[in-house]
Amino acid sequence: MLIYIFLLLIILSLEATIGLPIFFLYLSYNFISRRGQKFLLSALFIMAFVLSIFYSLSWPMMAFLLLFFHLFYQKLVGKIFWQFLLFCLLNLIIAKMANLQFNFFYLIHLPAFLFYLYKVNFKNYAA
Amino acid sequence: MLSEKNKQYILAFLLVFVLFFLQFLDFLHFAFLTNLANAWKEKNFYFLQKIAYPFHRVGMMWNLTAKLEDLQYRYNEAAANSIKIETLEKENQELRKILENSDRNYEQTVIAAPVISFAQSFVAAGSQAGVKAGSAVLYKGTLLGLIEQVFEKQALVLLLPQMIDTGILAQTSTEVKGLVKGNGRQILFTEIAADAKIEIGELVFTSSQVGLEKGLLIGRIASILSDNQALATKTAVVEQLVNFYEVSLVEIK
Repeated sequence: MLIYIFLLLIILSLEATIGLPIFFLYLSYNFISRRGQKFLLSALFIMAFVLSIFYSLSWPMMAFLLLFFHLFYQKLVGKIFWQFLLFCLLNLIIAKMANLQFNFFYLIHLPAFLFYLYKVNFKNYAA
Repeated sequence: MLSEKNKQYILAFLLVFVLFFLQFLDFLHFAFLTNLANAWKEKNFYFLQKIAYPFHRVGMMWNLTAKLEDLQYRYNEAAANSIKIETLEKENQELRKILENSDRNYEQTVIAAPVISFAQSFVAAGSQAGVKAGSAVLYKGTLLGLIEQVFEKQALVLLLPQMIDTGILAQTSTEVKGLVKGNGRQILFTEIAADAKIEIGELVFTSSQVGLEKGLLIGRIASILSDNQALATKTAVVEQLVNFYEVSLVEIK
């Protein structure tokens, strides 16, 4: 678990360097979503904290956003498209708040994430 | 009553509210951690740049044609400017030569380029520039001719070899006096006393007279004509050190 958290931190640092924290949000949320409610909420605060540190944002604002994201995400269980849309919305809000600029690295970063999503979620369905 | 799950949500939002309040009171400071994260990001950036460099180069290749065209255009522009600069440099050097080691007076001096058309000698300055008939046309202190006719933007120059009907009082460096005239092809130093001693290579200058400065160089004696020994005067051919048709700028004063 500690190794996984350390790996997540490295992913966040890399993503904070080039743009959106898509991998970090997806992997860390997946990691905590199956845990107990108390752990999940505490982990959301920690996630918000590290995000606020790496993106120079407000911690309470990030915590507020992640809590809302979690609430709606729970309500949309089974609706993959809406969940994906909600995830995109969260990323766009972070991009706007952190004033992120589109750059050359997105050409690798975004397709890699989409390919990862396809491999994890959709490949089994297709088979 | 509220379920345990909802209670936890309310607690979480309450905590967020507390955090907002603490932030409002300016108690939430993470400058140290933010600086640490930024340093880490900086290292990451160098690392990522190294990985992305080959791809970046490939991306740059797409714009290479447009860049080449732009460079070619700029090169042509620079070449045109270079020619302009060369011309200006040449003109500047000529001006420097005219101005160098010359005693300037308060008289108006016009500097113009010679214009040669249909075998007539003009200068590219006329009455608009203040050129007057009878003014001396000089190059580096050497008298080339006199202004004969003035137009609005140009003036006709009567060169010394063409000065058949008029003459200029002149003297050599050994104070031998005479009259400088032209015969259409050469400059002649005429009316020299028969007993006066002149030598080939001696310099000839203008003498004191109305409308022309004293001491302007005319040329040097190239040969002495002594066909008729019975004459009371003798004539010498004067060779000029500069040619009106070869200089790029002349001085009119």
